[in-house]
Amino acid sequence: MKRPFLAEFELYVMLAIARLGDGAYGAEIRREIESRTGRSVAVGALYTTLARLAEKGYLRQQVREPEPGERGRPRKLCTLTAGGERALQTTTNALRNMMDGLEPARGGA
Amino acid sequence: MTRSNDGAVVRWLRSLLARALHEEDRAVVLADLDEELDERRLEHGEGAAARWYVGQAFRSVLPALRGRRVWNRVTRKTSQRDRQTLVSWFESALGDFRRSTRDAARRPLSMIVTVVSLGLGIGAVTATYSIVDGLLLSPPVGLRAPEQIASIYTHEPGERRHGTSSYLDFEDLRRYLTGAEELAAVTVRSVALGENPARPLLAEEVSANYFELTGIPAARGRVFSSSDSAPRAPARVAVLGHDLWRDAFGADEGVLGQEILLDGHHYTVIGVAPPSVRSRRAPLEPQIWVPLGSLESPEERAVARGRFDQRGERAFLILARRSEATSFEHLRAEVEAIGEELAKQHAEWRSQDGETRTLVTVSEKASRINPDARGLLTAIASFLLGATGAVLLIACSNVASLLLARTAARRKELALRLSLGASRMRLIAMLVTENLVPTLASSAIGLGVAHGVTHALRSATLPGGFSLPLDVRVDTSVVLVMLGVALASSLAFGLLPALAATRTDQTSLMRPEGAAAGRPRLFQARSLTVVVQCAASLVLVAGATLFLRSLHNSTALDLGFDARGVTLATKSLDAEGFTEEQGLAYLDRLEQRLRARPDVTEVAMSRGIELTLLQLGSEVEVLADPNREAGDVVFHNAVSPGYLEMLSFALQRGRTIEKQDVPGSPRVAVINQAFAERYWPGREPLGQTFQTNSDDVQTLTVVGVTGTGKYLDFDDEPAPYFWTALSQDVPGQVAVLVNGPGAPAARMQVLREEIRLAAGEVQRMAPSTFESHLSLQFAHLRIASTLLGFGGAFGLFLAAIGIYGVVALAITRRSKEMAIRAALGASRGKLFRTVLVFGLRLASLGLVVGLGLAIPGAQALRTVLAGVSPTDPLAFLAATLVLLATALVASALPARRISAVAPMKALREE
Repeated sequence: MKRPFLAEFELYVMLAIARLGDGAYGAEIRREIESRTGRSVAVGALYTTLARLAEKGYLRQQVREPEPGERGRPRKLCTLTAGGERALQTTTNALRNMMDGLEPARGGA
Repeated sequence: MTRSNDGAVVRWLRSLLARALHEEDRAVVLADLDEELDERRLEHGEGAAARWYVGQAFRSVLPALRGRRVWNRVTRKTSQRDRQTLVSWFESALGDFRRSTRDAARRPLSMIVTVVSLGLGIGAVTATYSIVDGLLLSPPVGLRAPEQIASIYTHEPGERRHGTSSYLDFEDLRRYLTGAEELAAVTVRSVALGENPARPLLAEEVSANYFELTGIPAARGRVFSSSDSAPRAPARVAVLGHDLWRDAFGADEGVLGQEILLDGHHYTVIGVAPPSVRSRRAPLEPQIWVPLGSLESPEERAVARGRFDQRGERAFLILARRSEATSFEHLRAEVEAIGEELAKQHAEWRSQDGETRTLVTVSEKASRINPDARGLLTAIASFLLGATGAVLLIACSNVASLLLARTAARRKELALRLSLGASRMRLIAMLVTENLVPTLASSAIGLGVAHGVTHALRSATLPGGFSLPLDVRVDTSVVLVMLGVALASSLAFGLLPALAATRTDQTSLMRPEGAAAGRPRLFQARSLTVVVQCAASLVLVAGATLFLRSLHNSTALDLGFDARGVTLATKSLDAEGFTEEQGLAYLDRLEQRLRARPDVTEVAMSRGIELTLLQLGSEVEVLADPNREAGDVVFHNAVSPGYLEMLSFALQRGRTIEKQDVPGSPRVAVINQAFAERYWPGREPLGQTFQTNSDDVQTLTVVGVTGTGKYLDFDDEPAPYFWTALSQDVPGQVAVLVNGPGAPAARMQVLREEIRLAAGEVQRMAPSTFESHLSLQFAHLRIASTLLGFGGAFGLFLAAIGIYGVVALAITRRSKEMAIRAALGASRGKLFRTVLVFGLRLASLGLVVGLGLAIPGAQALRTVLAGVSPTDPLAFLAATLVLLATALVASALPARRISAVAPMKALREE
């Protein structure tokens, strides 16, 4: 049984998917992280992380080809699995517990 | 997916990324980037968008390579899950195995050096272990309830603590010792099997209850029973040792009941012992057992003084089996009490200065080897094990550094494998499997070496044809230990480099060699092995030098005589049935015949020979003061005219034994200086008389005095010694000595032709040279110095390879630094010196560690070394210099290369 904890970037990715809801795809996730954290995300790194999370069973990826005639590109749509939800829960809980009581002093930082 | 409006850089980067990405991700990632590129182009303009793309592409390549691994795992899991993992493991191991043998074939030299050095190391340790196992570790075969068995020794004041006992004392113990169920007496002697040629054997003469006491069963037939030992008239029956039965009788089942000749007497074979039964005088393995006293006829026994009826003659080891009700402590106390009683009753138990003999009881386990010799044997054994262990360590560290270098050279290959989806475990398994091939080859070599060494030891023949039945063999336990050693070294030295090489992530491994993050660790490991090698070889070289110095000192000893060229053989007068007169007449004729041979200029006869195994019954009591009841024990020899001259015993005063000393004329003696000083200090010894109690009380007149030499052993303290005239003191067996010009081989042939053996006669000593007998006395020093010398040279060689390798590697690593320094104006000579100092620094570190180990370690050798202090400065200085010189050469060779390197070339390479 693997540890259900998520690494930092994995956590960002999972949170972004959770925010965007089912059917989030790569470019959306990247923009979501970049706009909220202010850090630039390498596309290659994002997809590697998505692949790893999929391998761990935290999310499902589904390739959607553009409809015929539709101008657009192939996209990978990501959906959190139940395991992924649990891992997200565990990690955010841990994070919250660690920060508990620090909020008055550091919370704003 | 080429897009016409993209610049060349963007197009090139896209194709690079496309190659790096796994196909699962390729299309979406590229599409994602293109989408953003287009948006940015509209928002920020062409230039900014392209710059963004370049940054994204560069930052995505390495994650893309990692992503490949993830996808490889995922796809393998889904598509190949049904594939049997065992089969795939086996296939990949087979592949590694094949690659490894191919690899070995491609680089034969380094592989051969590795395999052979490891093989020799394993062989050395295995052989030493089998010797130690045979001598010290393995429990005796066939003993029933050995914890109930004890050995009883006699401690004679002034002698070693665990001495043998007299037969009369044995009988008294048997009579009075109530705590023992059974008491047996054992003695070891050599006997001759058959005739023309006779085969010398190591026999154990045992009381008939010996087998009953020990519980050793018969493998064939039966062992001795009490009916075989009618008191003082034992039956002539024999139990064959298993090896003798196999070697001399072809393991013939029909041997039971067969008659054999032992020392000229007819014996009936009644049984065969199981294999590997150890003598009570371990580590020898008896080849045959005969009942105690059966080797002499009743008449001979009446003549043979002492062995059975004098308390002064202590020839027997006593074994006791305590009854279940008796504790060992109780047995010991009872034995001690009997000893005290015997000391009260018998004069032989008391020395002049009031000290008495005591009886010492030792458990079977502690007495497998005489406790007095045990410490020395243990010291030698642990030193040998340590020395061979050091050789193995050197070999292993060399293998490790070769492997480290190899894995370092294969970093890119490993990185590629990792990025192509190989797991770390898989790579480690690969590296360890590859290492297994040389290890197996080395184990085969090691086994061969160990077998050869033990076989050579077992079949070694002493001068005079005696074999040395050492219980030393490569048995299952030894092979298991050897395989354990080999596998452990293979694992340790294959696994460590594998772990080190696969620990760093593959991205850093992909970078150019010099910048790799794993470098310092590998490099330090190599330096460490060199330090270990230098330390170990210093220990070996110092040990070898100590033994060589000791050997030199021993051979340079003043023996008091000169045996060069002397050749000798023995002849039994008893076997011919001669009277004394007939014997003397025979010797006279033999001398005439020998003198007539052109190869012979000097002929002499004697009862025994100084410093050899032939010191037969030459111990007498000297009564210089007729009023004293007991005298000192002094050794003596009976010799013909010419004997003292032939061996150049330095005559100081008077005359030697001459032709005029015949039966009927006054009995004469030539004494040594120590004899004169002991009995007539400050007085004229010539013309003095003294008495001996040899056969009957005899009075001898001193006619000559020689210098004091060595007679029994090389480390003798100066002791009294004397010679009588052979014709006045005819022994049953004589040594015949000849000398002359030319090679000794010719004289050996003369002895073979002229000494005709009577029917059933046993030649105690086949023709051989005196010097070969003398060299036997130095054998342990010679063997040790040879072994250590080889080990030391071998270790030095390996250390030189190690130093060379590490210095060469350092130069490759530092070539850029060197080039810059050269470009900045450093002279070639200065660079050369820098590199040299680097190599010497490693060697010096090893030197310090080695000295720290060797100097205290050598203390264990104190008792073995003759005339050399274990901290002999010369030995350690020599070892230090040899090692430094080796290190100098080993670092100078690659150093020459660096200082000749062109600065620009080195800089460009980086």
